[in-house]
Amino acid sequence: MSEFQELIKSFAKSREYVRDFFVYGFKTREDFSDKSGRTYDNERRRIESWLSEYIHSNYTKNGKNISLAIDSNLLLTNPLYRVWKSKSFTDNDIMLHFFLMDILQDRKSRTIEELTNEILSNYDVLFEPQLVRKKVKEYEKEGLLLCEKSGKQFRYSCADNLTYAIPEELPALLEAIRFFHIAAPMGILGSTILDNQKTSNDIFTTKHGFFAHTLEDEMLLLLLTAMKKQTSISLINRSAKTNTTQRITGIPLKIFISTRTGRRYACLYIQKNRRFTNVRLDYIKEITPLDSEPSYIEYKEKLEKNLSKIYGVSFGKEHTNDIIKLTLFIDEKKEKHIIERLEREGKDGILTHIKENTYAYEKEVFDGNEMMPWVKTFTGRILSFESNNEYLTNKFYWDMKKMIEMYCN
Amino acid sequence: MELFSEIYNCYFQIVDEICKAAATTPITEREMLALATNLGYGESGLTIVPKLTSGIWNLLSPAEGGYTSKIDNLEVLPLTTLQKRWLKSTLSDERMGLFLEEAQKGTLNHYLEGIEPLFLPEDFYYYDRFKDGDDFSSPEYISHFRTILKAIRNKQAVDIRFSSHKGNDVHHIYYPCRIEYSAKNDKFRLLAIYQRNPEKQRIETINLSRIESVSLIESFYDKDLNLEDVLKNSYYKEPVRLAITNKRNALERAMLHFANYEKQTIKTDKEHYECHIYYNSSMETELLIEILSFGPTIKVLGPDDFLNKIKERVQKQQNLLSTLS
Repeated sequence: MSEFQELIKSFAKSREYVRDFFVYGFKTREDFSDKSGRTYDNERRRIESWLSEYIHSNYTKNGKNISLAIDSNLLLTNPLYRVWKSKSFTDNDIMLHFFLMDILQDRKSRTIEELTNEILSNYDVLFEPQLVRKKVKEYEKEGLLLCEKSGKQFRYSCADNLTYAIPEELPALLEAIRFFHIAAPMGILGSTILDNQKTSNDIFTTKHGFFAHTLEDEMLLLLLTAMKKQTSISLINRSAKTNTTQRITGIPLKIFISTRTGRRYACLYIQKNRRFTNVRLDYIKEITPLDSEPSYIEYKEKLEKNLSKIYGVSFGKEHTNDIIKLTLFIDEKKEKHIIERLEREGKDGILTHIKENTYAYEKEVFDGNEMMPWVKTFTGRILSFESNNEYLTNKFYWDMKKMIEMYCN
Repeated sequence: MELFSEIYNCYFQIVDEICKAAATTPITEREMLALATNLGYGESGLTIVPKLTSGIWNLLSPAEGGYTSKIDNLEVLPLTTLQKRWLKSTLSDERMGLFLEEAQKGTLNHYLEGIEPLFLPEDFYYYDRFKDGDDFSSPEYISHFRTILKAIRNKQAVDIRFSSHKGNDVHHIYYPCRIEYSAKNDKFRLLAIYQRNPEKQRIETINLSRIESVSLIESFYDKDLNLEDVLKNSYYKEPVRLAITNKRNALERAMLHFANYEKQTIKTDKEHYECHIYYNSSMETELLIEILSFGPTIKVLGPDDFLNKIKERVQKQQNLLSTLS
């Protein structure tokens, strides 16, 4: 049996476990039956080690379960960023990292041979020049080192750091990074900059922060890269809802984000069907970039035109749009905040004052089913629900009947 | 340009701290272990310290009283291209104006010359964001934001006049502690201590957009307030208890929807789950309507006070429907 390691080579497997522990938190060892017991034990131990202060164990009749008790309202950072900082490395990787960066701090350039010799003379460690070259090339690609050609030789130097490059702006910039690292997409990168500058956030928190979604950031990076290059992609989508795996080829145009659940979707144009579709980022297992798409801008403009008719992420299945009409009882004197809610949250639906204390709200959307959760938040004041989609009308009244049975009988 | 890269590894951060600590005076194994425990994962010290002391990671030299570092020049690492691309993206965010002046933005832009932003604001569509977000470009708003930020940094009191959500004019001295941002509301809120008298203090939340004036005053606080504990103490002892029936994918929807709260879930049988959500009075109404949005797939079991509020709304709904029918 191999020795337990906190660090990992690949993120994919651990991401599923962290997500399950965080989002669900009720699964026991037996519920992870598609993996071996030993895999579960190792992953659990690793997560306990990464996130020890947030681990909550519970003993139920079905066995012990592990959950992550994280209240995003209270925290100054996303604890799940720690997972991104667990990439394994070799002994040579860490030594070369420190030797090279230490030597090159003087901002002078050196050849590979000079670097190899200095490592030996300064630190008494002998490396093969090929190994040094490989690491230097890797760091050049990452942007940490700069390369210049001098005669027939390549010389390497260290890129400017923030402290050196923008000393006066740095304090204000660090405040901004403290904020953006928990509020902007790919905030994990902000977190690594704070690490780099040996500081942390002590001021900003988020309300409605959904931390689990950082686990999808590797996929988000690939999508953003494809969007920047205006290429199509092929992706593998595994739906937890239907438990099916599907390969989808499309052109990524936008990332849809729900501020109420944190869910993120890649909005793709599927040329084969001539339709837009949204794919949840946490369902995407793999993304392969394909060719650049000459009509990219055209599809993007087409999407922009459609945005006003999408209530959430669904472009609808039928050709007919759904029309939802809601009549509400609102005490005009005491409940102005409800009218404000309809204006604020109603996505430009038409709000009409019908008579004293009675308002109608109407909206045409691709898929009215997506509006139903929001409609039900007005429970207690709905005078009528009407729709051209009979299924939705039946669903609404069935739900209300069940709610009344649940709470009033 | 890998996101999952050893360059961002937390072991590198710990070793860097150890090397810095050992640059001038020797560091002991116990001190190394303490740094690893403080900055790393639960078992990081067990790997890092032996690797360093055995010389497998040949970065330290044995010395009298411990180990000294061979690495003595390294100060701050440069940013990777990926980090720079992220930083460049934040420059396009209108909220950056709260932190940086135009001239400062220009300097940062110059530093990031030739760097492609990782994303632009238009790459994202926040489809359910509220319409009445704060005006981050308003000079008055920016000025209030910066004054509050300065006050928090200096642990200084501020004199704030604002209009409450009920329309009342409020004017008090506050000790600002934290700035909270909601992506859903697209608003900033200030969490501040209001001290009525030396014995009595409470945390208040003030929407930044409601602030009419704010100024620094010459009063400072030196105590380190553990705001997390204060906020946690504001939570009700008893969580909301929900019974979830896994129909219409309600379980997954609920788990994601309530992922921003501290919660615990147990499976009660094949199709049913019980979920406990921890909350305080400021979250109550929002949580209540979020639960209602699930319809009959979620049933509130308690506490009684919360359950009664749900019952009251459903009862009202029953009355409206029966009156009409």
